[in-house]
Amino acid sequence: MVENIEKHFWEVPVPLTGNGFFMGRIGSAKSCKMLSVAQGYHAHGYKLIDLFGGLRDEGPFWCFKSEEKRLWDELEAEVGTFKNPGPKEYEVNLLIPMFSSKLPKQLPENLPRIKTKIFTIPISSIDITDIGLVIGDLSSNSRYLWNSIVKKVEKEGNGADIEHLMKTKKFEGYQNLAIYKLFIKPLVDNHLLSNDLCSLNLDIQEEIKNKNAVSILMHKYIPEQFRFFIMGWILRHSLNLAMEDKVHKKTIALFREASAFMKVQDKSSENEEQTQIFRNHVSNIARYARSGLFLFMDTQSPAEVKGLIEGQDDLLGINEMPSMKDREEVCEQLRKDGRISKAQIRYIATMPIHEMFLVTRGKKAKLLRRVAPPRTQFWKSNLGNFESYWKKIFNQYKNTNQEIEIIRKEYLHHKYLLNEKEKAEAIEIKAEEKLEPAIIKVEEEHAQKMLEEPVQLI
Amino acid sequence: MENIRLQLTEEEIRLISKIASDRKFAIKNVDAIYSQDAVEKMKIFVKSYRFLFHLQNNIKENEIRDKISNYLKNINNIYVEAVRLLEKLDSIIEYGKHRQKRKLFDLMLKNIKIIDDLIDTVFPLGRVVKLFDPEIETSYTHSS
Repeated sequence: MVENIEKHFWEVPVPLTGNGFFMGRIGSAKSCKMLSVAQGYHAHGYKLIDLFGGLRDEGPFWCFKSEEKRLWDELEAEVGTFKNPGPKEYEVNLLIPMFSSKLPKQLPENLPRIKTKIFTIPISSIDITDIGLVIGDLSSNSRYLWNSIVKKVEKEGNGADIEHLMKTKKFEGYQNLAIYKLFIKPLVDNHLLSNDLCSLNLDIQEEIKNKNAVSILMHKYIPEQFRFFIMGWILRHSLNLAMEDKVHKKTIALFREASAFMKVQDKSSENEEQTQIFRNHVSNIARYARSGLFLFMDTQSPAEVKGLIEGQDDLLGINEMPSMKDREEVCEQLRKDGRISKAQIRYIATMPIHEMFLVTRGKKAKLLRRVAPPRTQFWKSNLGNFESYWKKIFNQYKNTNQEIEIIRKEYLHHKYLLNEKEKAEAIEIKAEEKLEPAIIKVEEEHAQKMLEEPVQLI
Repeated sequence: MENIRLQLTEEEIRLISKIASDRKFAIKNVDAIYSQDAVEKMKIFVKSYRFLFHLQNNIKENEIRDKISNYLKNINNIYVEAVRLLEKLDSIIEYGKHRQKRKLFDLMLKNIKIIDDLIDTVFPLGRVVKLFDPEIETSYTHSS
């Protein structure tokens, strides 16, 4: 028999109606398979936002096309000649928040395909839930402070206005609050907070509408305590825009190593409050996935994300999983429902790296014989980190001076305006003080006149 | 009898092929074409005959249609004989099957040129080779 005839090429199921989860042991290529599936959805017109690349920050590797010749050759030997070449160069937008003290002088950019966007955040777009991702639960004082800042600063004010406001008598007492010390002060110092008119603001609506480009959040230049905040802010606005019908409803957010914030077991007490808030945030989004923001996550052990995935998964990719406990965790319910057989569960224990069981909504588990490698380069230990690989492949950079200068000038301009205003006010007060005795004198004279005038009796 | 051939020009083949692929005429069990087993080969012959027979009704050009129908008329007796023998082989009664098989084998040997010619003609018609497209396809599975 000719083997080709038995093979069925597999496309991702569209439309997507839920989230995707990919599980497997370390090195079972779960992240690669997630990328392949996500790229399948990209071909069907879905927008991809790579939000979390794990602690290694694997996201920016989207910039490079796949160099895995051996993997593509193996696939070609099995499925025959390709219609289109496998490796592809995607349009990439690297999103980097403005933390001016952390930004290097040069950032990787290769126009027109790879754009680097250094962005600021308008003050009015920050919600109290976002701040919780940095400092944990907010006290009522902190809530009051932030609400009054947003109200006073209005749409035209930026970080400089906040700084000025905090020095006034009314707000001086609040400088000891955690919200000021841990959130407002560092962000103002780093020029992240801007007004609504700033040209550097991240236009999420436009970003999502540009389906062709893959948006990637680079974590390297974000201080660790602000990572959840930036991710949460982008997620919240993406979902809101989709819910308000301002953008299409085909957005997928990718998370690698979701256990970093989804862990239910063995969680550390460090940053526990913030992690808990982010976890709630993400699980809420997972519940409203059909509104237009889908989550793709990979994790090593299903036990880590227990509770989140049950019933919300539209795509469940099961990779090699030697641990019996993990297998039971993920397959027990499927087996009881007759969607996966015992032999298949046994097979998962020693599955080859290129195979994957895929359970799609309402269907039985399907064994994908060889998942195509991602069309972009994925992280490998011998490649090194993104920066060194970039240097090897492109070695092209852009200066960050321009962006930093724009926001710094805006801050200075606001400071200057505030100073001028203060001076003018001071002059007015002085003038009033000078005028006061004269006015009193005139008034007294007037009163005297009134008294001296004879009263006319009618 | 041996000189009967369906000679189609390239244009005619292209036209027929287009109709065949549009209407999804297909012979799925093409692997058996290479089989030297008489039963398998005759099954393919019968399928090929039926394929052309049904296809000719969808061809608007009279010339090609006449060409095909004349050709099918000429080989009609082989087809009828093959169908008759294959039907018997499908029966649940085992008795006498080996004799029918031998007859089928004899029929095949006698008309091997016509049979091969028909199968070779029909094989490329309406067949669209689907290539793996990494743009949309991400994997493959087995049919079972």
